[in-house]
Amino acid sequence: MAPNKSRGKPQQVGAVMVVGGGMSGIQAALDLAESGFYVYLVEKKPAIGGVMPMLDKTFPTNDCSMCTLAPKLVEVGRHLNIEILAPAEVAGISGNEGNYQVEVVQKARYIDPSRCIACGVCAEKCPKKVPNEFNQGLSARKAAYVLYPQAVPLKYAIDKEHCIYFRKGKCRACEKFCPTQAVDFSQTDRVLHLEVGSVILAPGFQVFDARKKPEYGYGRYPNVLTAMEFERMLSATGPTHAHIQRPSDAAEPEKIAWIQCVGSRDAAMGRPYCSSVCCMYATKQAIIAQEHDAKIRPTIFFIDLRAHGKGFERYYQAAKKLHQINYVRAMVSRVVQNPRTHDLALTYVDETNRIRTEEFNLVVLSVGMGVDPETAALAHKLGVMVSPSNFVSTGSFTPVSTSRPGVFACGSFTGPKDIPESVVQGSAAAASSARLLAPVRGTLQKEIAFPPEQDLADEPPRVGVFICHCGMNIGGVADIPSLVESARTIPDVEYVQENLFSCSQDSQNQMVQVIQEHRLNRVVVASCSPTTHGAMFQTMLRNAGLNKYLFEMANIRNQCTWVHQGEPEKATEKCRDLIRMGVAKARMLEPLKYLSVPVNKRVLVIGGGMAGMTSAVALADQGFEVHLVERLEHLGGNARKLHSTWRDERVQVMVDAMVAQVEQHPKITVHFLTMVTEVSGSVGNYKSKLSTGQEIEHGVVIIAVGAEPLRPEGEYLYKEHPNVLVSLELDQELARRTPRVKNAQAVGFIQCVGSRIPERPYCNRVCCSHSVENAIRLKRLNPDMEVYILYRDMRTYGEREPLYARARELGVLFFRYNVDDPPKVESEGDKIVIRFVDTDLQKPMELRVDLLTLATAIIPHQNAPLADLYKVHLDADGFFAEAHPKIRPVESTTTGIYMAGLCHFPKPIQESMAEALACASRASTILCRDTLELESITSRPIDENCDGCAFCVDACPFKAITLLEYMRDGNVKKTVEVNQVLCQGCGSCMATCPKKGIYVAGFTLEQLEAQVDAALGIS
Amino acid sequence: MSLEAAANYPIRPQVALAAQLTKARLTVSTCFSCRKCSGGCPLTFAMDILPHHVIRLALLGQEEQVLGSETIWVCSACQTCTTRCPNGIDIAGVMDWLKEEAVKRGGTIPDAGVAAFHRFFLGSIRTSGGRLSETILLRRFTLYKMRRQINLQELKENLILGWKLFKRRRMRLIGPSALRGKAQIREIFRKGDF
Amino acid sequence: MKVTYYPGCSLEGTAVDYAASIAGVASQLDVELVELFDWNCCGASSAHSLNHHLALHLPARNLALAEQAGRDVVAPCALCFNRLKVAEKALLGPEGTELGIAYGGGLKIWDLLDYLTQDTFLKALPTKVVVSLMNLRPVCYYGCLVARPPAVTDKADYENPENMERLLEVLGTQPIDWSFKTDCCGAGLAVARPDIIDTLVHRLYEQALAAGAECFVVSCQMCQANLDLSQERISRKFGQDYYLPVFYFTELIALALGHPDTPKWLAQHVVDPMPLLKMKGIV
Repeated sequence: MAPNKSRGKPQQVGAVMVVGGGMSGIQAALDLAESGFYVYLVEKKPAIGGVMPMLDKTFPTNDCSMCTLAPKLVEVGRHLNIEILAPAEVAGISGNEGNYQVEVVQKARYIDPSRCIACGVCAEKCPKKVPNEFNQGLSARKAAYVLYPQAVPLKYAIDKEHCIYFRKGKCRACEKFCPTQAVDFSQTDRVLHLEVGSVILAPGFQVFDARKKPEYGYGRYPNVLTAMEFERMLSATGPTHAHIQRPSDAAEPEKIAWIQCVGSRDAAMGRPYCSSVCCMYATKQAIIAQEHDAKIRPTIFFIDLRAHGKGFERYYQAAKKLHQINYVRAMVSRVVQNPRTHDLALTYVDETNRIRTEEFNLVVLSVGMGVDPETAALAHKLGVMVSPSNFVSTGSFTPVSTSRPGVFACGSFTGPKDIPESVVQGSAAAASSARLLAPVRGTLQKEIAFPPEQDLADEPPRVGVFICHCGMNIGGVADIPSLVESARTIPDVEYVQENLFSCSQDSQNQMVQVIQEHRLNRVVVASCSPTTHGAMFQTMLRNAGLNKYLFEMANIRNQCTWVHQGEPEKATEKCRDLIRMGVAKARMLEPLKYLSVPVNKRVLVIGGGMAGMTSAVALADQGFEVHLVERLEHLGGNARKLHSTWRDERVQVMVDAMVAQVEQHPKITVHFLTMVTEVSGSVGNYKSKLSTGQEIEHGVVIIAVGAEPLRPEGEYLYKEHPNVLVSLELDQELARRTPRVKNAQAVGFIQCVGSRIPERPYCNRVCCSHSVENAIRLKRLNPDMEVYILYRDMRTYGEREPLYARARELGVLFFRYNVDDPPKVESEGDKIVIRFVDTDLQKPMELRVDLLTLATAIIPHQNAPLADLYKVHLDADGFFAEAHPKIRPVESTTTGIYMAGLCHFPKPIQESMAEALACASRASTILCRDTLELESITSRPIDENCDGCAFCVDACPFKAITLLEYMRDGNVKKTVEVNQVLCQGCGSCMATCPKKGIYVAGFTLEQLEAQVDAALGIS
Repeated sequence: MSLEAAANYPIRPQVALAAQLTKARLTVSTCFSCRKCSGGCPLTFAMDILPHHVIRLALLGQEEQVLGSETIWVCSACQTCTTRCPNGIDIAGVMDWLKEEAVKRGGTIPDAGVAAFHRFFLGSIRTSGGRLSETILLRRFTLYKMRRQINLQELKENLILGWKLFKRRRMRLIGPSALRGKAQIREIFRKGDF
Repeated sequence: MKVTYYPGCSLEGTAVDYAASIAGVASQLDVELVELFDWNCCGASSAHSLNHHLALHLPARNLALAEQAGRDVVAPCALCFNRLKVAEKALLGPEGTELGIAYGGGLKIWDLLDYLTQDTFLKALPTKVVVSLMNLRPVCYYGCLVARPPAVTDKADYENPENMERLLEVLGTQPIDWSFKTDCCGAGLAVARPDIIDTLVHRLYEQALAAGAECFVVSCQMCQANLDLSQERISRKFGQDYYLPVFYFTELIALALGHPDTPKWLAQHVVDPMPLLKMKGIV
């Protein structure tokens, strides 16, 4: 793909290279491929997925990691516009933004991927055992191997370093036994020269090597594991098949200890930052371990418990109270092994300040994240600036931009972060690329072509039943072979098969072949939930030449084996019923016409703060028309109250610049002093009425309405004593260097005012860092000023941790208070006296300050009216609820509606802007299309039966049904009409109608009756 | 005053002690109370204030408590705390500084025996002109202990041990002789104000 | 091999047996130990406890003398080694100029164990072994100051050193791994606070026995003294009958290499190792 050079200036290339196939890279790749760009996804290992496939369950939902990831892996694997290069590495780069030439070394895997069917025979026959890195070395793989069972691409590779042929010239057993002659020892590394418009770096993180903290005995004592090893042990596909057992004797441990901050918050060893996720993952591991084995008693040894994300504080409180996990606020100095039992003794200071020694059966080290040397070298080679810890240096206002234009970065490479943030950044990086390359969108895309769909006309049903093991999730409980046998006896079932993982790409391809070979015209997949995997199987049917609605899913996992783990025989019977029910319905399924609707490419952004403006500009720059609705008479939102970020960047300068950009942008129309009053329509075709009377037709909505600060009236003398301020007020005074700030001899901060309490059980994420930043500013203003911060947990996460260290270095004093015995504040003339018990010393403290700052909660606006208008959900705290906390963090459950910034959850500016960019990216996957395919499972009236009683009209929550009248045979005939775009196929109308006058295609009464009969064993 | 005795008095932070420690390159303010040092200290059973509390109280300027604690004298300087502190605080070094400061300020030392032992050790080096005479040291210390409190059992044990060592020719009665550089040694002691 | 030798005060006093075994082993291994001329006391724990000036200047004087001698320095006493290293770091560090002592830092400061467990020695030993120590089950006890803090001692394996174990394996024994190799024995508190030594050493005895060991091997004479001299007292205090001889690693080398004076040095221990050695068929 040579660039078209015109008069010396190279033209932009409509392709992007994503370096790193982890969750963040995958998200970036999918967004770009779905919005008109060709993507090269370069991955160092033989398969994509990164760390996420190694995880068992993820916090805070405890969803299975693989389940949430697999659909995306498959989507990437089969996407026409994503080319996976694995194993491959970037060797060099030249050029400029818009036109980069990247040298990629595609490493030999010594197996021809076009021939490999992943049968596994090569691995079976290979005599060379190698520690399995995916299982953290706890089990062995062969030199011929596949990275993990659901790998994409699902192709084997030969590990040259350990292969006997490469080392000694002997063996070649794999070659001998491969049924498709896919083994090719003559392969060599190839150098590719690829032209791309931009590069996105998503290389992920390296797990800390726990041998560098030798006091914990890792590598010396068998029963000391890293959290990654424990994660593999919890996993169904792991070395012990999810059986928690001690390495020394395979016994089941009862007492398990987690030691936090191993390789993090450790300035002494050069790892001063916080890895952000370990407090949460240790909590999760403790909860899940108990699920595996109720007799397990977990203890977590920590310094500060960092549960600073959405839903995290609740998760932590539940862990303490419901799951009774023992949290000990003390670091363990070292691990000692009992020579006979191989138990491990830990000595620590308990909550009564006494030294206690406790024996545990297993110790898990919560290892942190870092940047591996190869990644650091790549950054250096590409000229990308990094922090002292090798994380990419990004700006708060340019959260995914590197120091090199056109090279973006996302995920943990920009700093330790969890999965949702990595997903957000992946999308944000995609938006940044898209914005740069908008002029050449679509120039390099390949078009998808499904085979023509067969006309089934009067063919009798030929049902195919695919029963999934889902690893151990189903196969470990239900008797699959027995289910296969009985499925074969069901009438109209032509073919039955069991799969280990139906969602793996390889299974999908095989099922397509089977469907075609056996001329199946109805497909039942008995596996997991249609919510996560339904769409994927429907696409599989289309690839096989079948209408996608000839598909039925029997959820024998979430609705059966996951619930009835303790009763395998009964669970099997229930599976049998569910499968029979699935077939009963499948027989009656009819192909449905695909509906599509034209897409209106206009965007409505609600909220003119930094998030709203960022989304607006990101989309407007790509050529989309944006209407920005702002309820005040100026733009800037909450950012107008801020002055500096935690990296000392000037906020107002950036806000002004952004406001100017928005107000001058030819594609953005700003509506000041305006709100949305009425909404109709759905994705691709919304009609929103503004309070000005104007109606806007648009395709998508981005909600960025922000939030507001809590006014803690009545707390800690706020509003009673003139020298008690809230954070925002202190910000103003610091910026203006007011006399009372400059002359203060002592300033105090109280954290968590109105947060992390029963009436508001969430953490506000920004306050610890913000107070620490301000404390540092105060000390810089006057080094002799006494600065005190009273906190519950210091949550200066990620690379903010060195800020906390800096504050301590400068002499800011930090005190921990107990929420059950909060500080008491009294006025003494101008001064304020704070009395509390220091939980460390367990002694009463008395502080006298001139100024007291309260770090208070951020509370949502009254969001209910807006949420109702667009039919989106709010969470229990009143913030907008995302579709999925991990993998769809900026989308609402309703397609086409996105959210960013404070209205989603408290967060700092850089994260709000990343979310705003992510919204723009997600939105552009719809906006760049001319039509949008809709669900065909919608309701259809049966005119002959309908008498216009209109019960269904009121029952419809989406206002999709209207009453009509027309003349027939000289009489007025009432009937109803359904708006196919608005209809969501919920079935309320069908359930309400007394006349069988309306039905939901794909969920007819007859189909449901057939299922009931099948359940009762009647049919 | 021990931590227990201070129970009823609210602590009001003072800055002077932490500032002095910082000047001596012992930055106690970087402590974030992780309690790792106390968790690994082998001598906590003999201490009145836990090591991490010594650091915290020093940071808060509670001079009487830390300078008057027994903790600093029973610290064996095994360096476990210093080695493992994630903030790189030289806790054993802080213990040393506090001992020196406690002696300088002249207050009552709770473990006077330990302080006396160290004094005799250094005095013995100065007297012998550069090297230690274990015999002189032990003799001085035993006398010192006897002057304070006669513990016959302990005395008997020490004498028996002394005899065992002497029998095995491990107890020198004479020497060591002064060094050539004894003037240098004297100068070092003079400059150190000892 | 020629190296400057810094014995330290106790090697001339209560640890003469250690000094003798060192001299014996040195000759067997062709190491010439040249005593540092006019060396002074390093100040041990008393200097750093009471006077930071003495704490640095006493060992610093020795380094200046060693530099004049122009060779690496080896110190058998762990505390001396640690103090010399502290002085070295101070002299070569940012405050070095304040100390007013010229020091180029071109020599390496070794602790004796590290020195004698260099690859050259370990490789040469097997051919020289004439007595089998095969049945001996010791634990290696390194003590604290030879390893900690790593910023001072420059040791990579400061939590789990293994050079003594490697040495003993080369000599034919099977040292037992245990978690307390570098735990504190109480060091310089032995005279003023024997009660503290009792608690600490009792812990060590119990842990050694739990690991299945029957003796200790040490490289520091303070550790040896605390483990050896107090054994009877601790046995009485805790109502046990501990018999855990405490060998210097040099004594075991000498034993294995058949040095004729070994019984003399072993006889200078308070806990007599002979019954154990006889039982194991080593003597």
